[in-house]
Amino acid sequence: MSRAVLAIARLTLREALRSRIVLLFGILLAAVAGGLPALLKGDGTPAGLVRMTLGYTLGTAFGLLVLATLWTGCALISGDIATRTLELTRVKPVAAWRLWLGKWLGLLLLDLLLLAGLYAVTGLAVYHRMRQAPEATAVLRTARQQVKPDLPALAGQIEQVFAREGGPALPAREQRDLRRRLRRELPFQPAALQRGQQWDWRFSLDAPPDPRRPLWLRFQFDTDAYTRAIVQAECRLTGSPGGGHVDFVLDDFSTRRFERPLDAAAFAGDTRFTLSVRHTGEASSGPLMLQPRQGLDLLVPRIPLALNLLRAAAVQASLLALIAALGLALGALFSLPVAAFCATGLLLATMISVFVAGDPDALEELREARRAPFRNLAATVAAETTQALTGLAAPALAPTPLRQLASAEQIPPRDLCRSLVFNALLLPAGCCLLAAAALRRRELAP
Amino acid sequence: MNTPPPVIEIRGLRKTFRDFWQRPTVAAVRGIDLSVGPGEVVGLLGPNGSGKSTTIKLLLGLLHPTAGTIRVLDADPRDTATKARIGYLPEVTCLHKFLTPAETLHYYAGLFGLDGPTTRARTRELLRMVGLEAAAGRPVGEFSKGMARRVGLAQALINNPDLLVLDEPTSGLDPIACREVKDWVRQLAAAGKTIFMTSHLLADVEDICDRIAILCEGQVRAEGRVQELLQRPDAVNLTLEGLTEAQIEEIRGELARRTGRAVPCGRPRIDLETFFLKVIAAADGRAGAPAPTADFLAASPRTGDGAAP
Repeated sequence: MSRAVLAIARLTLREALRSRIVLLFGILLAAVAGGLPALLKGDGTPAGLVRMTLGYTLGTAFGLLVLATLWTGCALISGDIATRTLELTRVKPVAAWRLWLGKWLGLLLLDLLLLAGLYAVTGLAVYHRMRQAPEATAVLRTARQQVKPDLPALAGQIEQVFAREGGPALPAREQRDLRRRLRRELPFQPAALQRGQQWDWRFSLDAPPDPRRPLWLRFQFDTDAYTRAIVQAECRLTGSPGGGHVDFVLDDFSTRRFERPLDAAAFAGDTRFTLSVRHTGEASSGPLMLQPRQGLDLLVPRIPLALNLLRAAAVQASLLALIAALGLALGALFSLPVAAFCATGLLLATMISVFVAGDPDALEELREARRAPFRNLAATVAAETTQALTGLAAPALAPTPLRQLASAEQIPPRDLCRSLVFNALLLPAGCCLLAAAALRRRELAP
Repeated sequence: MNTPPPVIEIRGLRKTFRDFWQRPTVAAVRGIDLSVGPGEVVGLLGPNGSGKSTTIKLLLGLLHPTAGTIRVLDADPRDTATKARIGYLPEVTCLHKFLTPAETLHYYAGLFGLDGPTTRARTRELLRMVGLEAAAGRPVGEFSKGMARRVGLAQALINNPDLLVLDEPTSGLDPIACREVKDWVRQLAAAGKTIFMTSHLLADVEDICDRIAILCEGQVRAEGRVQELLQRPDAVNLTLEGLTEAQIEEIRGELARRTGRAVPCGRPRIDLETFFLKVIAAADGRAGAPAPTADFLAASPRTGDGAAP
């Protein structure tokens, strides 16, 4: 890397470390990381308390970091333009993209320092709590790989249903709408298991589970509210090629989502599993409803919590890299107030869009609005904006490290890599090109 | 024999500022033609708002010309290779307030890609030259305007440039510092640097520059060598030392007789700057102290000579 880039990065970091605002922000983060775990009461269980410590502390502190990074990013270049310090830098032999890169690296280094401190303090708090109740929190010590049942590819299923519903005969716009609806609905389509009926689900692992740690099955069934208490299902998990099996009965459907530990010693060396579920409830009980793509997982203990914390930190660092890049690009385009306003507006709009996109009722209303676009102009604009922002933000926000940390799920290496490539490399590179073009065109100190 | 290309060549330069809606607001530069040769010290003079700073910013690529061409060191001023050979002192010294002078120079040396040993050596020499060795550990934000100006001048020299562009170099400096800056500029010029500067302090320009151009309302109104522009071919000035009042009267009578009119004769005054410097030098014993610019020039091979990347 060139000396100029390093000099700019060092200057940015030095400026931050000597700033009182950054010092105050560091104290605020330390207060959140050290103080929130002490204030949290949890859900009454030691494991619940640890989950809340992970989720709330890291979530709150990360939210603060996102805002601080965004606004600092906006201020770095636009502030230098306002104070005219950029004038002296731009007459030096430094290309605009190198200037941007140096600023971005400096801000990223600062974020990494703060993030490392945050995770260190939170990790200590979590391990301290786990040491107080080792048995009750054992499930959280190891992050579990989430394995979905082997199901036909969603794309193929969409095409099947599309053909069945007469999609090819529809006009182009309606075809597009139908496909979009299927893409949204099919992953959540429930399968109904009637009384006396049995369904088998198959799972494939890339490596056999550790026989010393229990396997977990996670279900999200639903059934008729009146018959919930009398529904019963007999289940068997069979491993192959070993052939070992574990039987168990599901008879408590009082909660929508639950996990069941299974002794992994029966499955030494097995990598393929079959789960058989037979509805054996009373005659008057209703069917069991299951969304196989969303509500059924085999959870296999894989990596220690500390490593999962590191992966979560890496995912969040890559998001901060993207936020910093966005702020810097806006700072190169506009003055500080305008850049900060745009950045905050964009962040809020994206958060609202992602929230709306996850709410089926809101989506339905937006769909209605789109059917009469000119009558409901505002709603149509909102619908289109929501869809565009959700689509744009999807690759960046796909990994959910805090949810996975709190539910003791391993953050898959593929998600981590995708996050690093998209959020810390490709999208910042785009921001860099945009900012460099803006800086080349922009006149300084007229 | 081939003549070397001019260091600065400006042809038909125009700059019109526009508002948000791209409507023209101010025509700051209205067709300037100017050429600066290697090793020349050229001053751009003019009242406030005459377009001096705009011309300098166009020259450095900080502003884009509306029309006309600018060549600096026989290349486009926005080329990074060209920028590597230019040192610039802006009108207002905008430095990073949280950095010390040494850190400031290290930062700008980094932008030129200078290696560690070269950076340290030049920083040491320049801090000595501008007299800030004692204040090298204090943040620039605590400095007076004059001290900040010295840091600004040091950063302009960190790459040992071929072309030095100085925008109001003596602005905000006390008379001693002014004199030092003028001495440095002369020594840099003697070392072969080309210097292009603006000022509205006419005495400074007269002291330093080989050539001047007077800018008014965005146009060059007069241009030429200082000596030629200021010389009165129709008058003679004699300075004689050690005459008594009687001798003076005798000379005055003789001159009146020969020219047919009364000729004013009297005791000349030294200018206030010279008197001030004498008093201060006598007070702190600085008279005859060597200026360290020569040390810096001797210690700093040119960036383009292979001593630095």
